[in-house]
Amino acid sequence: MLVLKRKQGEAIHIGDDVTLTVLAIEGDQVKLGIDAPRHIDIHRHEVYIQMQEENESARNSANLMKQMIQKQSEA
Amino acid sequence: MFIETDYFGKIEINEAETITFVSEIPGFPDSKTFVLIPYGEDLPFWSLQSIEEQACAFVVTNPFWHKSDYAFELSDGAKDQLGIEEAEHVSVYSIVTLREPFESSTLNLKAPIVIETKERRGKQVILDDAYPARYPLGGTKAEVR
Repeated sequence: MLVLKRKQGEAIHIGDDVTLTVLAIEGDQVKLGIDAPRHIDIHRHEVYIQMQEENESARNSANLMKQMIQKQSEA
Repeated sequence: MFIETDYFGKIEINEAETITFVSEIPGFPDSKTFVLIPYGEDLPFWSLQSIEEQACAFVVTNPFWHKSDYAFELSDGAKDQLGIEEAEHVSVYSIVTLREPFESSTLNLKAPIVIETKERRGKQVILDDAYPARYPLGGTKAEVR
C-alpha cells in the first residue's frame, strides 16, 4: 500500500481525473473531498462490503425458492 | 440462445431480452449480462440469472409491492451510466433474501437493481438514503401459493 502524508487542504491525484482533498481534520475524523468523473461510483468501504455480503447471502435464495415451489406443487 | 441455469436447467432465452450491467454487482465481478425469468405467472418473483455464471442468480421482486412509498433519487452518475433519459424507461427491482421461515425473508431496499428498459442496461445502485438492506418481506405470504 502506498502511504502518503497530507495536511489539511492538501490533495492527491489518482489517475487522470480523480482528486482527493483533505478538507478538514476534526478529532479522529478526516473530511475528504472527492472529485471524480460521474462513471466512477464512490461508496463508504463498509457499505460496499455489506452489499457484497448481502448479495452473496441472497444468491442462496434461488435454491430455497426452488424448494418452496416444489413443496407447494406437491401440496 | 440456450443457457444453463442451476434452477431452471437448460433454458432458451431471447438475446434481445438480456440486460447488460454497466457496473459490477458487488461480489460478482464476472457476471455482466443477465436475464429476468419469471418464476411463474402467479408468483411475485423473478430470477435475475447471469448468462456468464450458471450459479449466479438472484430472486428479485418489485419493491413497490412491499413498500408502496419506496422512493429514491437516482444520482446523475447512475443516470449517465444507464443512459436514462425518461423516467418511463426505468424499472426497479429489489433482491430478495429468502429465509426460513418464509416470514423472516427480507428484501434489499438499500441497493435496488435499476434497469433502463430501452437499451436494457442495468445497475445495482447503492443508496445513501436510510433504506435498510434487510427490509422484512413478511405479510406477502398469502401471495406465494
